[in-house]
Amino acid sequence: MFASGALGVDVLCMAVFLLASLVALCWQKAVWVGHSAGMLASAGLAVAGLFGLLQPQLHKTQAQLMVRSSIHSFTSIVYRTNPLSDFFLLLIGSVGLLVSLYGVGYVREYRQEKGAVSVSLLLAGVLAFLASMASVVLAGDVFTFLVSWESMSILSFFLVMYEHERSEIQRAGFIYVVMTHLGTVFLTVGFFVMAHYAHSYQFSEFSKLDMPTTAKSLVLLMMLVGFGTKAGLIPFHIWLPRAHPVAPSHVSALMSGVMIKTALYGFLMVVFLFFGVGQIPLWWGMVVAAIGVPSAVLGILYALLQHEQKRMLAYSSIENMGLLFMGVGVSMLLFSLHQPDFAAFALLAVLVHSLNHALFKSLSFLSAGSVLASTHTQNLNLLGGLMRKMPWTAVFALIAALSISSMPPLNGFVGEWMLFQSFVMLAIIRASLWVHIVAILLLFALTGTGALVAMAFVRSFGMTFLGMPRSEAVTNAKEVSWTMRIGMGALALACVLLGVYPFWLLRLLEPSIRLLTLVDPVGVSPSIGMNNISWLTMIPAPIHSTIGNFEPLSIVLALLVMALLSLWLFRRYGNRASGKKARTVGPVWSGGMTVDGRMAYTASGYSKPVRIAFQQLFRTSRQLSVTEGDEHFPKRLLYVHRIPPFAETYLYRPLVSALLVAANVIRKVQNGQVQSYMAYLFLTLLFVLFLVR
Amino acid sequence: MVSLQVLSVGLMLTTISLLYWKRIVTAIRILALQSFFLGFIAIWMAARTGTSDLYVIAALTILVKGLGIPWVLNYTLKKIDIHRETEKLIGRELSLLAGGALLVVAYVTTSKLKISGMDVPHGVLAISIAMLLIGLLMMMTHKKAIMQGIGLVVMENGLFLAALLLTYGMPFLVDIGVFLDIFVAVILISMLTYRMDRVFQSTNTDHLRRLRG
Repeated sequence: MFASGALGVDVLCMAVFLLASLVALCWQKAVWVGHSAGMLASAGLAVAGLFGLLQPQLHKTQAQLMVRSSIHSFTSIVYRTNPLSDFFLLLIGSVGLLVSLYGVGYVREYRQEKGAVSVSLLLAGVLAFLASMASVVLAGDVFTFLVSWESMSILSFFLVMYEHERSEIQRAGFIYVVMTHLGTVFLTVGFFVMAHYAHSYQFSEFSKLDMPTTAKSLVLLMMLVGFGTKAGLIPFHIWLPRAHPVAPSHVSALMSGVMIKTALYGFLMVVFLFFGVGQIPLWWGMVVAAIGVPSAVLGILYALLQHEQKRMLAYSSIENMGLLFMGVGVSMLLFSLHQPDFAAFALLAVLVHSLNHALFKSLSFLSAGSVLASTHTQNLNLLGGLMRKMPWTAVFALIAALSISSMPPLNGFVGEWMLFQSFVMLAIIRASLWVHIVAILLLFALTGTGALVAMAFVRSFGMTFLGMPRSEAVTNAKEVSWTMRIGMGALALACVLLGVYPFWLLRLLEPSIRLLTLVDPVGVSPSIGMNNISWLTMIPAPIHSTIGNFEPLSIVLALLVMALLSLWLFRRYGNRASGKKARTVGPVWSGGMTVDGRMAYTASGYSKPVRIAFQQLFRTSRQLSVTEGDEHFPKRLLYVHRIPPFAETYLYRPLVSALLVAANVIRKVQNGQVQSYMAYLFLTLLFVLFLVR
Repeated sequence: MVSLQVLSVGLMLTTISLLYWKRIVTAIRILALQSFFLGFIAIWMAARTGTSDLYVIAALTILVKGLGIPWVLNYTLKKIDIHRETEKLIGRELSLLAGGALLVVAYVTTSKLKISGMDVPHGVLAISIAMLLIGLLMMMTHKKAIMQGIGLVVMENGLFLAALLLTYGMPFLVDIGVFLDIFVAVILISMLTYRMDRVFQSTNTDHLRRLRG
């Protein structure tokens, strides 16, 4: 048993999580112990990850913690760290810390509603869930990885089922548990195939994998299905928009922000660490990028049509995972086209964007949770005008929305800009025509997705916080407690800081990139080397040019100058028409009528143009019926529009019904008649006899 | 060697004729006769190889299969006291034809087998396989539970014969175990037949079709 310092801290943190989870489970008075231990251990994980990234030379000493439970090497527990897992630990720890802080206030509502026992259950579940996610990224062999992966899935299933009384949640939980197990089957088979070729279950041996390319391709496809299920890639996503929204909001934040990232971790580990970047067939990258495209485009299109805020955020998570896998695919393509520097840049973009997504997506979920806790509804059509009631939440939600829509001074822009740059690189390097066409199509997908994301979040923010209240739910809303505000505020601050000053993150990621791609980001190539740029200026475009470079600080300065200028202009000239200092406060001019919340643009109305434009895709069913009054003088109308979920309609339902038909055919075999069972035996016997002959 | 051939032809004839008889009592008698033949083969084998274990086995065969099992079956038949005739899914002629076909199958499949150390004619092995298949055919085609018990014993006889020919009998303990198994199986079948008769007023296995997917 040997462990270096950082790994020791990691394992200690996991132990603290589990212990605190037990304490919270057994001793309901001690909820505060659980809360504080959770925050402490999360902070510990984040610091250990940060330390590991800052001191990458420590990893050279192959730190491994091994607990052999038996003589069989298969059932031993092995943990190890490397810069990739350090990065994901940092992600888990930092988001986990802030989400735990938010959770302190958020679970209070459940305490009134469901009692103290159930709150401590929730707390215990969240703590164990954090431990299992850390265990996934630290796992050092197949057994540890699969056990951690399954515990993560099952714990998150329990958390999804927290409000198990409601039937739609039972259904969501069922679909989740089925899908996640399907995914794990593929992962298990894939890992065993690799273990067969590596002659070992240790991940450290996997990096010297000697496999024929066909077997590698097969394993890659299995991993794509297995990890794609967890990542919510279309068409394996059907659990995600059901399960993520129904969990308690801070759990949703963890699931959407962090848990689905472990799938990215696993995929990167298999492709870049185990298979190596030496010989990646061209079609691997094409497949990975191609599975990302529908996830991104369809994900955001469906997000745009959702009424429930958290469900919309869940679809947006699908979209972001799609972008990330597109980035991974482009990186693989660039590797197979022998452009390792550009490929490293693309991978860097993926990692940067995954941290950014973890931050802004959990912030979005937390602010949606605040709205939900305060108004008890997440139907966008019933909200509106919340900004006056909940100013803090509104500001944080605005930051999250701007960041997701990749508005420049915020962190979302950095990742998407880098992704965009790497796609451009793919388009302009010397390669075959098909690669160029693929690159152009990917660029189309990326930019189109970006536009739709902006629209979706303008809609979501506007319908929630701006305008007039559309129901009583809003009038009784009040601002959430300070722990929740601190949790959201810290995330918002991180979004702003990483947007204004992203170099810190890029420098931090150097060891991870070096590990994954064997490309030294410092100094190898003038195009992506980061030490030949000034710290305070810009992220260089990977291709030498002056227009592609991105200077966050100057953007911030320009925005500040413009804001101040417009404020000054408004002060100077704005009130001149009505005379100086003559300010009247009154309702919006309404043409003689009293303005009513019902007159405001609804969320459904706002996204209607998109729905019409893509109606061939959505196949919306619309129904207008008169519920009161007669046909010619209706008093009340009921308008129902339903969007059939496409993956279920076109893929899963036919699959399930085919399965049922096949099962019915096979069922005829079991007809209950003793004689026919004997006939089966008889025929088998005859068959075997002839085989022997 | 001639006596072995005579006895094995006797086994084959009894097996085939089991497909033909209509009355259950006759079938039980034929089964007893078959078991006696088998016992004599075991004695012949014991005399030929000089294995004393085989004498015990032969005695057990005659006692258990020749006397014990037929007595249990007869007793059950007396207890339920109705429908003394067999009921089958296929007619007698067709089942005779099937029995002949199975005999051909057995000869064809065993003719090419090369078994070292077997110093008896191949035909006897074919008969053992044929007995096994025909026993299974009986279990398949008969509707009455008691006839399925008889089919089971025929199958077991076939297996026993094969073991006797190929390895001069299985290890002693295994043989004893098999005897116990088959005896218990027949007793169970008898008890079940009796129960079925009490519940359904019939021993037709068509009534046992509720357990299915």
